[in-house]
Amino acid sequence: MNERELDRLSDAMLWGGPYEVNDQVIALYRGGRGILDIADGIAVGYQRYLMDVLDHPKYFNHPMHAFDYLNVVNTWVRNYDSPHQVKGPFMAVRFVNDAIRSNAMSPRDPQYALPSRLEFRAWADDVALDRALPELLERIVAQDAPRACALVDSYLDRTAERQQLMETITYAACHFQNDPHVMRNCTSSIEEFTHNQTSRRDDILRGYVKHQARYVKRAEDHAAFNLYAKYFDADAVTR
Amino acid sequence: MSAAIPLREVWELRNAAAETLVRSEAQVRQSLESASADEILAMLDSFSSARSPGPEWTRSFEALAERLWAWCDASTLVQVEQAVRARGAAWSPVANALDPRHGEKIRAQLRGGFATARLPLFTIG
Repeated sequence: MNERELDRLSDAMLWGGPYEVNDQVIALYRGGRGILDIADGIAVGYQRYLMDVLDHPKYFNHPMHAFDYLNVVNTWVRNYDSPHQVKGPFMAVRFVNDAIRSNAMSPRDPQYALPSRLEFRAWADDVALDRALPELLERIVAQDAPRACALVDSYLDRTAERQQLMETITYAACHFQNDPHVMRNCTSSIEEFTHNQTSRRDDILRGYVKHQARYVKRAEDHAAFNLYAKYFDADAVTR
Repeated sequence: MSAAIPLREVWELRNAAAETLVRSEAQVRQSLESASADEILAMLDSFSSARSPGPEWTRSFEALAERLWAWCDASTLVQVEQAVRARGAAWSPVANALDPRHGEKIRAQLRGGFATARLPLFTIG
């Protein structure tokens, strides 16, 4: 998919309704795009919502599930040969759009609005490249989303390395226990990044960081780790 | 150019829409300047997720909040904020948008518009 097609699809997903997203998928099929091309476009289109719109930590819940279900649909499309595959992108784009619209039924709360990641870009660029990942780890664990997002933007621009970046985000996420949604998001993000063939696949990593640095976890403390530290290793640290 | 409509006509249509919008904003301004706290509260009722007709309506709340801060009487907004906050946590997004500290931010943003524009830097949609 070209840039204009990706823009149109993500605009419909974020700001349109069911008819608009259907129209976009139909237009892409008519334009000769393949099932997996469109599936990839939906995966990166959703990231714009994570990156630019979603701030309130409690409002990640519905779209987070929609992204996980999108990953299920895409996994099925990628691995099973079926004449019904053509329906997959319609289903995925509709429930992602539904989740975004469901969130929009409540006004955004300015108390939870985040400063723009761009405000911290100069700070992130000043972090040496070999310090960027440890710093990112700390920012995710501290749930400092604007700086974590600025760091991942800076890192992605400065190096082609991605594997250590994914491992760092995943390791940071694993500090939070008692909430399987966290680990499920790791799986969805890593799989979709690995398979995505659009020019915007790095956005999946940007969204991955935003999610892990902002989504409110079921357990906000490190309960299981603290239990371990109490009984087995008083000097243990969380990173 | 592949568009069926000439660019000049497209731009004429856009200008007509802008003129209509400016006039409707003037109407909103007049109504908000004279609105009582009860009238504003009655309107805000429709922004609860349980009463909203749809996400397109609820999304317009941020645009409405900008206009409230631009045009409503400050003492009226204090009354509205207190009444909304008393409704409980479900109404905190609306109450927080009416917090005077947020109002200061909004007013500063609106002042940052273009000198050539007839309207402040309002959110359109």
